[in-house]
Amino acid sequence: MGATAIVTQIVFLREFLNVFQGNELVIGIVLSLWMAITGLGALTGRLLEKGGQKIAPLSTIPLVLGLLPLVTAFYLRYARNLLLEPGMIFDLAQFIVFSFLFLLPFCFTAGFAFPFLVRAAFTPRANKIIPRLYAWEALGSVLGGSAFSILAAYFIPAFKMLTFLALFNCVAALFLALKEKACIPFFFSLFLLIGGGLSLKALNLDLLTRAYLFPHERIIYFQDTPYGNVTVTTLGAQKNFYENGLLLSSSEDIITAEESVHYAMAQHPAPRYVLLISGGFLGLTAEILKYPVKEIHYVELNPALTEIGRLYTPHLSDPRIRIVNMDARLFLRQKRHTYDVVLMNLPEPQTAQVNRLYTDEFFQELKCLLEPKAIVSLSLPSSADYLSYEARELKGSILKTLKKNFHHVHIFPGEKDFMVASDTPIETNITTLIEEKGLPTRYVNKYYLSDEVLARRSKFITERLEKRGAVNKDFFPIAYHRSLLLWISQFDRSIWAWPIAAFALIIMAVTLRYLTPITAGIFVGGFSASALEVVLLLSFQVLYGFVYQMLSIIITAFMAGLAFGALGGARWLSGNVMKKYILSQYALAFLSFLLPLLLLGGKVAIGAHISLTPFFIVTTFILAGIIGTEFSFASHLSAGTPIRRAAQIYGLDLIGSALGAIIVSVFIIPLWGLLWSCTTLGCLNAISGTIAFLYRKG
Amino acid sequence: MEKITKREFIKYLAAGLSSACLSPCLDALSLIARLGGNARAEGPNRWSREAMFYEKTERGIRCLKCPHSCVIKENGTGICRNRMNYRGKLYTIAYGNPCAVHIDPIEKKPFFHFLPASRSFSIATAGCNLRCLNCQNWQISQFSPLDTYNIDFPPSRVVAESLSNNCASIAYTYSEPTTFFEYTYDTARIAREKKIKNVIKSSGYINEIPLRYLSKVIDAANIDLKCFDDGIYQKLSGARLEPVLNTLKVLKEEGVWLEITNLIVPEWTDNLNTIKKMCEWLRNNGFSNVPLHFTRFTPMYKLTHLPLTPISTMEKAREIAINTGLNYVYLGNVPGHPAENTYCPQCKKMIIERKGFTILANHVSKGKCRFCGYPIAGVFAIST
Repeated sequence: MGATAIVTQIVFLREFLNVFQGNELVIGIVLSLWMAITGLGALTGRLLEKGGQKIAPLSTIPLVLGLLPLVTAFYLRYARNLLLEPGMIFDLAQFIVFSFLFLLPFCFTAGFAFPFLVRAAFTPRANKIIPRLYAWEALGSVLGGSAFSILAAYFIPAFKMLTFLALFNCVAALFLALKEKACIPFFFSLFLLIGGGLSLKALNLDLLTRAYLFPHERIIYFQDTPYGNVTVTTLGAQKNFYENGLLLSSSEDIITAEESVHYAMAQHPAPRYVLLISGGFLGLTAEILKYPVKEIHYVELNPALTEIGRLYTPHLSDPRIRIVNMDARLFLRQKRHTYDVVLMNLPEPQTAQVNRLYTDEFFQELKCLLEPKAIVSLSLPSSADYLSYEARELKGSILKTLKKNFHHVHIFPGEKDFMVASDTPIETNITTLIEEKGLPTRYVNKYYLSDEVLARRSKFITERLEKRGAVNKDFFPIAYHRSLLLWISQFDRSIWAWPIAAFALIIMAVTLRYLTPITAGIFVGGFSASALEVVLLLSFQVLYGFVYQMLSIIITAFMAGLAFGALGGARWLSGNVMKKYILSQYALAFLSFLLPLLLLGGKVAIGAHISLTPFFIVTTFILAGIIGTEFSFASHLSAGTPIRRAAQIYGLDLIGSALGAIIVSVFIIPLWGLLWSCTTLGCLNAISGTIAFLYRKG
Repeated sequence: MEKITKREFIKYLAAGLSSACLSPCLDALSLIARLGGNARAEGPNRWSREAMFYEKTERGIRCLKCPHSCVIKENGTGICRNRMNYRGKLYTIAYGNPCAVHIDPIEKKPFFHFLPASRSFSIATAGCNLRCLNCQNWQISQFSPLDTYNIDFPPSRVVAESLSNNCASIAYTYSEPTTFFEYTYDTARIAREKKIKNVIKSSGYINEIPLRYLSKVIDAANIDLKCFDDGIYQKLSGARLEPVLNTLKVLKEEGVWLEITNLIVPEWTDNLNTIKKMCEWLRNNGFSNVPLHFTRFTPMYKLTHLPLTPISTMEKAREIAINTGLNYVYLGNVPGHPAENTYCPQCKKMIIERKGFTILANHVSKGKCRFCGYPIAGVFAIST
């Protein structure tokens, strides 16, 4: 069940990002809904204790859990065309409602399955059944997650993976049905096993369903990668490049290519070494090569993007272009070269991962690799003719961050707003500069742009950004929060507030119904689990870089910690368990308070070239281990039958995790910073521990 | 002195720590409040005027300005978000408070046959009566003036600034000028007195009576003819085709210089048969000499899962339009394309060489082709 859940979660998240959009809020909503619905399913599992007879054979569980992901994923791709007009994004309210409906079948069943399994496995002597099942589930997640993340993410497409998962569950159902002597599940499992095996050979569901995502274009390349889905389509003679369903660019997009390059490149008297971060295959290299450069170092995290650049464009063939498939922060830390111009062609900072490339610390690291007259350029969505509150906050933050590191920053308002920064004065009469240099441009020239109009618009924007926004920092990533606010502002707020409010009320009502001095600890523990996982993943990316395999290892360490903690806790269910429970909460509080110090120490270690990986793995394992032991203690201390206890503890743990997943990543970390986020978590655990202490005699 | 017990002390401490932990939630809540609600005007203010074109009904006030014909209840607004019912009267809350004020080349609107190479003083208030999925200016069009940062710019100031900046025209643009109708109308009247031209960039979704009123004070209009399919029109923009076609006829009848823009959106408005029908309708209704601008779509607002319009599609659309009998057909957002130039409908020679907003060569003399003498439609100079 654990393996099925984690693999399904990873695949679903990728599919959701493909169909909806990839930003921190969307990810937070999906994960949060996942855990909340699973928690509600678990709490509903209490009803099982009222049934004197078995409601269904145990073998139905893996059967249902195996099939549901496949069916859901199919409809997720297909339903986009039913529910939306071509090319449309979901409204936020629609997205929340549809996510809920799509996740409901699998997540509710998975949640319900936990107390169901407890009921099936319970014997009067097996008083440690709950923590053991929890531990096994976590171990299943470890194995499933590791296998998928490290192997399947590169080689096995989504539907094939889900088919394997379904077959795996069918085998489990078959054995269980044999043991239970349940005929219907047995034959059904056998039928599905044979049918599934044949379909793997005969039917390519990935190929069939991907057409639903691009119904009117011809797909010539489609690849699920650890960094997202990459697709290339053709429409007439034009090629279109998509990442997670969002258009990166189309061929013949001269305006974007020229603006991304010339506002910055033209500033430098003789650029020789250029660092291009992302998007080189979209025509930018061709524009850069109009200058007498010696080398272009093109850094692209996702190797699939450079692959499609080589396959479908002529833009990566020049010998002066050196391609590096690596995280940009990690690349900078290797300090291989210094640069005259740095062009950052990144998406806007809507995720914590991308935000790392817009921070004060990033620009400080970048400056170490800049030649004296170097120019740096980045872009943000255009404000066109007006700057909303959200746009001011976001752009103000980035502008302030740049100004902290460079003496001069100028905004060129084009199809995007380009911020060009340098320690030397910036020439604002860009069309004059282009003409003086005799550069053959089709758009960035005096015919299409007016220096006077650009200057006026630039002044308009800059005046409105003064005193706006806070400096964007690694451990205070305010910019991605502001970016999310800008994204949200396009939706009708009178509509999207309602589903959120309704769902929040349901969660609150359910939580308060089951909250006791014991379950409060597990609720806070679940919240802390999600929150700390986000803190650790973000910190690792900030301090080390975005490396997919390493992040998978950290997630695996977290799950493993939960499993071992739960098993270890099950062994310590003797003596004063209440005291141990209280102490575990205080221990978690203490470690949460300590974590910022440890992370700051990590920064120092980076400077001293000490590897951070063991520290992160050990810290993650210990934190998760404490949470796992809390689960064991809470399951022992809470009142009621094993089914009731399993339902309550598992359910509240998940609901706490759900809230942690969204509140921490979307609000707490960017608004308060990592330091205060950890302090808050520490306080919450201290409070829940204190509540348990006060009521210990009760 | 009353002592407190150890338990009470810890209780109060826990409560205090909870408050400290929750206090940043107030920051989040204040953000949510900001997102969740707008300040509501307490009746008319200095940026309100009693609206034109409305009638009182039993259910509320019916606005008569556009085909939506919104029935607005007390303290409510119409679809455009800038007309409000206050104590039984309809007020515009978009008067003298633009949120966007810029100076642009007139070709940007686009106007290619109206005062080429001149500057246009461009203004807009928030609000729009359409809901276009690909709106470029959604940050002002899909909000009320109560939500936006506005500038105090009464009509007289607009005209004064236009004069001091040597602008040949005032453009009412960016959002939807027919929704800030009264502001447009009053400003245009003053501008006329000062010999400044008035141009609008509009969706054309307006009723005939207000349109005829407005036509008396404006000199040129660029109307977005989004599609020639009513069903798609409704899905793409929340409006209907027929009123827009009527607007085109009325403007032509009233002698307002007219140019038309058609944005070709992949999977929505790129059907070449539909484009052909549109061009035939334009020809049959006397619009052969009205410049038609096919512009290239870029992903925007709620339509971001689409590619750019292929240039080949745009070229085919232009070919269909010319073959149908439309004389002046341009391609926008395709820098450097020969379809930016103006060609004589008779001798087919290039009479205006245009690159972006710059006229490189002009072979139109006294409104005629210098090569063959064919009259070229347009307003190429300011008449006194």
